Amino acid sequence: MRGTLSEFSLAEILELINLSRRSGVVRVEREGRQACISFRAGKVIAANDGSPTEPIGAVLVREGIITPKQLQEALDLQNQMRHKLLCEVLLEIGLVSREEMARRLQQRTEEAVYRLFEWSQGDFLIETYEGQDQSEDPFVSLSPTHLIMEGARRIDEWRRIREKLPSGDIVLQFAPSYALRGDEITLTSPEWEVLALVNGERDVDAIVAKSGLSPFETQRILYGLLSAGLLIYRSQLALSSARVEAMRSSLARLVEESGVRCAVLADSRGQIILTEGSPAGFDIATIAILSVASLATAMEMVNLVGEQGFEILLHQGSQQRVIVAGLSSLGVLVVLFDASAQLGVVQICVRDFVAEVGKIFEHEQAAAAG
Amino acid sequence: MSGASLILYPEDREKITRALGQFLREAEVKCVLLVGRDGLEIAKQGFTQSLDTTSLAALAAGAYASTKELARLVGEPEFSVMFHQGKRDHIHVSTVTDRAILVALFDDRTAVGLVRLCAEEAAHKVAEVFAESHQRAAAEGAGLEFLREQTGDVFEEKQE
Repeated sequence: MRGTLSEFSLAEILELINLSRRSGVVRVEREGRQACISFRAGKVIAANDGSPTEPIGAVLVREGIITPKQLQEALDLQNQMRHKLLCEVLLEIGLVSREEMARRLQQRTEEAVYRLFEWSQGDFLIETYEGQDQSEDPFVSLSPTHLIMEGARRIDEWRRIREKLPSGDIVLQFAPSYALRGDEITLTSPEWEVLALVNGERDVDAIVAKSGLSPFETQRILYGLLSAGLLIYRSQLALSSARVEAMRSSLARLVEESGVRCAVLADSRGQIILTEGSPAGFDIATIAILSVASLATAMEMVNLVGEQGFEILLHQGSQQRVIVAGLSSLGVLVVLFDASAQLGVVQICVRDFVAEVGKIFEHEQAAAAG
Repeated sequence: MSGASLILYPEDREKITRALGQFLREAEVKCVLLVGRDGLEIAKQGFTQSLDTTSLAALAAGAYASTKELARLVGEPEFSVMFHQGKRDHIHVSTVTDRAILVALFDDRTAVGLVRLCAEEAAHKVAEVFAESHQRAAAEGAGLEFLREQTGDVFEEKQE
């Protein structure tokens, strides 16, 4: 039986498998990616969504169940005994218990099916085998009804999680203010495990890999901890390194072209993201925070006169000048210079920079919004 | 605020209004406010009907005062000019004396440089009026000081 996912959804296919109590395989293809779900007597026994997943052997080594040496031995053994799966070999030589193996395989199968639920397009082909399958009991046997219900729930939840964790390279850290609040927190043990992995350096992907939980479960916990305010983004901005480099070069160009003493890019709380030029002799950390504050006051004034947008705030002293510019409400640019730099030139350079980096920020914002 | 409080006579106000009016015409700004450092409006000229000038005055004075620490960090006693450049409207805030600031609201029909130049001129004129007032207060000050001492004694006695 053939069709496309747009006319016949995966949930309906699973429903059909459930009702027919048949054995077989569903193959789905989308943009060159192939996925398959195997089923036996109406139960899902294996699934693969075609995304790169860690081999089961590597997972067991990472989790410390077996040593790399043991894995190599098992792989050698598998080569000798043809038509055997690695998990069967591992089970046979008694390195892993059946329960442990089944738990991991079940998790992988479930994750693959849930990821497949996100496919809205693609061609599918259902092949069924006639007669009773006599081979031994499968490791995994999942009820399609359960998968459908859980899948639908997860799609909703994924959508929410994606809003906060749009990509795997986001780095989280503890909220420094949380300890001060003295709120009592009650966490479950998986939550503690995930929390313990957050160190301000690991990104979401690394935490997922280390946690031993499913990606969904780990990200759901991170989402919860973020929502509770226990965790924050390392920089309030979820910036990827390529974009940071792009901003750094824009900032360096601003300093070079305008001849200003130094330029600082800070996030909306005044925490410094990048500095270019020579800030020696200036307490730029405080200057950045005060600049954000002055911008906030200025915004009030601007709102009062009915102006919507706001571009540049200039503070001019007898020698020193400070320009503060808002960047799509996500960050600020602070430029320090003296009378040796031409004000007009600086303003033009600042405007160019704002336009350039504003785009980067907007992109981040759009990405964060999913 | 240091020194005696500012006493403005009707003729002082007249001079101030004239200076602001000239600024308004020459710089072609939308409106101009003379604001005390305490955030109270002293005088205004131009299109101010649709504007909450009281709040604007207070905010401008607050914004100006709050940048003092920023100025100190970059080695300035204070910033003499604060300029907000918006998409449509711009706000120019400049020092008049240690007592007052000048707030000008304008758009792209005029140039920032012209506003700055005229603001300096207007500030100079207003400062003159303040200086006159100050001198006058100093001249009349002996009597006032005497009165203040007297009343001060009365209050102190009452308190005890």
